[in-house]
Amino acid sequence: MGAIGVVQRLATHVVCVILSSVPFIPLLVAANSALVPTAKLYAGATVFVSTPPTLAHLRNVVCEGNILLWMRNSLGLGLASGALSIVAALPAAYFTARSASRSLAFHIRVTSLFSYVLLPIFLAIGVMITLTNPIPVLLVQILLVYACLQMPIHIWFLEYAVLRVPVQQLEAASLEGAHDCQILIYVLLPQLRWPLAACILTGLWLAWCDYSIICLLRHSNDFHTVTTGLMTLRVGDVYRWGELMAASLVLTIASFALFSCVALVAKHAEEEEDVCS
Amino acid sequence: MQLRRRPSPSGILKSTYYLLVPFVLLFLVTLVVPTVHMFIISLTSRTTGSNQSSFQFIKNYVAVFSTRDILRALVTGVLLALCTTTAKSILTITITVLIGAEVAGKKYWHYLLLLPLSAPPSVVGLLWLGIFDDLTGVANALLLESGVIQQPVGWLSHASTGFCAIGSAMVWRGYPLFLVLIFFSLRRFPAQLYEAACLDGASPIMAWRHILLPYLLPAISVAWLLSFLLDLAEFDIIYILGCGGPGGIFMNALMKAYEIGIVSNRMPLALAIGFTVVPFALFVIFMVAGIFSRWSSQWER
Repeated sequence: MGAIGVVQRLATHVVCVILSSVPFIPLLVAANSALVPTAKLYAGATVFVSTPPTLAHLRNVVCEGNILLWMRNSLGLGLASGALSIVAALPAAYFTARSASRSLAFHIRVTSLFSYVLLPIFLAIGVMITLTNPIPVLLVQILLVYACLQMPIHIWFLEYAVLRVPVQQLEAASLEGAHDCQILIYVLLPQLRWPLAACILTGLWLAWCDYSIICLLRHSNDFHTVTTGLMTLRVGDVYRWGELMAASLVLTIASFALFSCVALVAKHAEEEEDVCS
Repeated sequence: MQLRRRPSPSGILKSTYYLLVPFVLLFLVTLVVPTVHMFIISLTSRTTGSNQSSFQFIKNYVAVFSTRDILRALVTGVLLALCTTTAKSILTITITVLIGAEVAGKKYWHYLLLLPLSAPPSVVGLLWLGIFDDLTGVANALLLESGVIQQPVGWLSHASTGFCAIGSAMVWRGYPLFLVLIFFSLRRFPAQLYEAACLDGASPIMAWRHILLPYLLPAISVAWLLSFLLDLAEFDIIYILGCGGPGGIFMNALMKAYEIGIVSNRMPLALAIGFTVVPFALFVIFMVAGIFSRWSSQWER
């Protein structure tokens, strides 16, 4: 390797190190604030650990705060809405993957994308207004909105998974006289365990991350998910800065764990399908 | 070949349409009915908690285009989305160039780059508030201590600095979406093409420019359009980083709609803002779906 090669290699590594630091900068700042005991509003600029670091903020958030309750609420909503979304998305994914009607399949993708992009934007308010009379239980409304939000992602995931199931199996079942529903339940479903797990985890992650919809639709000021709960640490001029950053850090790490689970499950699903094929 | 999609083999999906019933039901209940209902409300003067309302026809829509604040919010939203999406694509293309390079711990490096995507947007807003907050932010602390500035900068109080602060947070949160789509596309990249070009004497940059970039173009287009749409609809980060700024200088259309509809209780006007953006968003969605379909056909071939 010549001198130019060494310089190129070195430059590549330097750029990689710089780019690698990008995801961590805000997290390091949060960790710093969470470990500094004097971190609060009007305390002046937060200096990097000038005092001995303390875990008091983290302890307050995890042990004395309601973060575990918020997590439970988020996970519950995510699980329920994920299940509801899969009930709608699985047959639709089977349809888009195996239907001869290309244009209809295309339109299903478009409409589902429409819900993903527009629902959080402008339509949540409308859902709130429209459904308040026929469905007074607001938790049901939240579940419906979340399910609609997750549906396009589930359709895409499951469509891809259905496409990987050998056509011959479906043909054989059909020749044996199985109905589409029976094919779906007895042939496809057992082979889609891992993609379904990935869908459930994606639903959990979406419910975990949402802030605007739950703000509009939650039925009581005492009901909090992780994102709305986090904002209770920041009311008006009172910033519990250390706890705010500690909670942000805990939630980011938990989100990353959830996200990693999705990635691992999806990878496992693909490997298993490759082995089967 | 397993990924054969269409034409569907005869005998599969004989009576297909009932499979769509749950999808259509959910879609009707949560999207179509509320949309129609909202459109009707946007043509009235109804306020929450009051039964009195009069039919206004397109008066609210005229107000959207004649009110300076709303127009400014629409333009700000589009500008912010354009800038952040462009910044994300530049960052991602730089990373794509490095993907081909031999870097120690490459696998883990790719994975760690996706970290910001997993964080909830509201948490991202708070994390970046910790950097750009006027009083306790680390940006001011570092710049003051290093002597670059003599007094704290009000990052979120001025148009240009606030725009940069919000843009940074949005780029940080959004660039992994680009990466995910590009990684996904790269998995099917025929590496022998690249190797053949290098053996023929093409420099890495030439090989990247003439082989890899054209191959990745559909993925980059889909990522660009999706990212643009999502940034156009950003709420959490803008809301948390200063509630749209002093005088609403950083407000995009969604934040403006929220302020008018929920805070000022003028729901019809807020909904009219929403419906003004919908056709534009729909156009972009059709483009995304079109590119995606062509992309999957390319894979099938």
